[in-house]
Amino acid sequence: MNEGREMNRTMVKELLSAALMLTLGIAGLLHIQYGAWRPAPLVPSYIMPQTAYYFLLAAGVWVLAALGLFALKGRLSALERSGAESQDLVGVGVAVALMLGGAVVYFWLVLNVGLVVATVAFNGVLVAMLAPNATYKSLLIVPLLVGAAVWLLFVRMIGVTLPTPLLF
Amino acid sequence: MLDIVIEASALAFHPYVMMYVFLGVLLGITLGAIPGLSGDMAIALLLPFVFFLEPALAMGLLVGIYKGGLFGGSISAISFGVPGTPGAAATSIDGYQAKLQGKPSKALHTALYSSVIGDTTSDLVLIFIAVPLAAVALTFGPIEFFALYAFSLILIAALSQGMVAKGLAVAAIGVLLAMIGRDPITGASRLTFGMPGLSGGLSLIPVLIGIFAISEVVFQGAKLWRRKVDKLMDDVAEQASLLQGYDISKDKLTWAEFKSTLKATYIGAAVGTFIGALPGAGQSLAAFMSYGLAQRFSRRSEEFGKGSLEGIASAESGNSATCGSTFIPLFAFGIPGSATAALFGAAFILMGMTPGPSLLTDHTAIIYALFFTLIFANLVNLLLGKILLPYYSRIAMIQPGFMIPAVFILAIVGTYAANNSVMDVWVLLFAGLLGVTLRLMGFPLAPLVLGFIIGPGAERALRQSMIMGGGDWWVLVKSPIAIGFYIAAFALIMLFTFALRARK
Repeated sequence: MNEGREMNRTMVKELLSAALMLTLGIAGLLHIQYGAWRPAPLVPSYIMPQTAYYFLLAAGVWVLAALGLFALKGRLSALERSGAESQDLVGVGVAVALMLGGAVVYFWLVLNVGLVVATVAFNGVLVAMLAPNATYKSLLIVPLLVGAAVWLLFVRMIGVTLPTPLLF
Repeated sequence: MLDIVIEASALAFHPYVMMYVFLGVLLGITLGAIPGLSGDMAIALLLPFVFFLEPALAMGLLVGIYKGGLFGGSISAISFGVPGTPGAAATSIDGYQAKLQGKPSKALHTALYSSVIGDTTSDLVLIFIAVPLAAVALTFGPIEFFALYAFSLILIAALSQGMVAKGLAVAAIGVLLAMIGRDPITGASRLTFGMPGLSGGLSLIPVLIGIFAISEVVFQGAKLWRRKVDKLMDDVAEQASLLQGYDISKDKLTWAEFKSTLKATYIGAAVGTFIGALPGAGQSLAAFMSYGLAQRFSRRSEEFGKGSLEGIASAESGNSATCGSTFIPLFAFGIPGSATAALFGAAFILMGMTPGPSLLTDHTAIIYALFFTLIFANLVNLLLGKILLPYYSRIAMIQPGFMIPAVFILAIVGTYAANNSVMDVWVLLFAGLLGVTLRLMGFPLAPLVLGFIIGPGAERALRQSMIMGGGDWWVLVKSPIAIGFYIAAFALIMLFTFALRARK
């Protein structure tokens, strides 16, 4: 049962990969065909991007062909890489939203509220959400330590230039 | 020549540089010992600081981290069976078994000595080969350089985790990212999608940190969120309890035991040095090939996989022997053959030095100082490893839940601090998201970074070659050296494809 699910996941992964390569390749070639590229002497200025798009298209076709070939032979399981770790998609989704989404808010806070305050707050949120054995004590101490380290490194030692903050 | 050696020695053995090497090795071993964090990640995070340091200091720090990180990976591999870095995966096979048999000290010391021997061999090969190769590279024209760039891209794409199509695709994406900004000949903006902030191109720092560090940190965050670490920590505590009643006086590596591992160490040193010089082959492949060969030539091959010290020595020596030789293509041709070399290449660029043959002629003293630093860092690694080995195993028990958020914040603020550019932070987050997406789809990341770094050089070489040939593509195969590169790429791909199949 699990094996079947893994195989389906591999299939979907490979199909999505091929779709990504083909979409990028086709969109790029269309952009070269219809975009405004400044003419260059003897060799067109889009020659390198165009070569890269051809490689993307070839790689996409290659992946699709390999999928088809393995499917015909009934050996789709051979596509699964040995030792490949199955990804926890929900976990990755939460981490992307929390960390990358949070980083956008964090940097807005850095620019508007202040580097140290924003760092302590963001670190506190991340530790609370990610550290499995976080206690109230660690939640109070660790973000303050990280805030102090960031202040020491970037404000005192490097002298990073930031807009005048509302707080600290 | 003597003047240069004296000047380089003065640079390399300046007390501050030596202090930075010590600091780097300590930091590298510490981070390498924590599963999920690696020397490469630390180097990526430190790139913004390179701006603010003297080249010799920066090189000392980065070399120390690199070497310390390589050995650090073996500590958690032996102590807990969890490789701290991918290169230490082969070490964990026998290392963890040896630890379970009550020989952790022997295993760790074998790893330390073989790592230092392999590393030093590789550094010596780098020192004696890079300079003559760079002299050859100075005679290359655009056709030969384009062939060399193509050779590296194809090889790194084909050898990255054995997925040729995905490797090539992701290398193409890297090249495309490098094309964003101004056309080098016409000066027109291209691929900027109307965003003026992109007309200067994408900076190296946010792309490298985003692709390597941010994507890794996000994956670690995902694991933490699922509380997988809980299980790991429980396992670690359970395994640590195995050491109760352990007598260290019975677990000292004897001279006879050390001598018995030397053949395996030399095999690892030779294999690792060769593999490290090839673009894309990597530490894991070097470690596993060394392990396989050492087993084949061992008189006690049946002990491999059951805690054999020869197994640990060969894997660790093979892994560490990639350290020096991975810089050969970078110094001789300006092509980073591995993720680490790409990060060092980026550091050179940030310090105003262009990687390639001219690096050795324009910054001779710095490069010779780097050679001295590479050897000196090995001695520091040996010294710190010897003194602190009993304490290092505990480092692997530091909770990643507290480290990961701090690393993530350092990456963001460090990227901003490098150029005081808000745009760089958005590029960093975009690169991180791209890295996560590509990893989810099973794409290797090293070819992307190589494509991004050598993209501009490859474009220049291609356009110059095409202009020389009047727009005819056949000009690319009119040079015997270029043809040699294409044939070598094909032959090496075949060789490693068969070698990997045999390993499976």
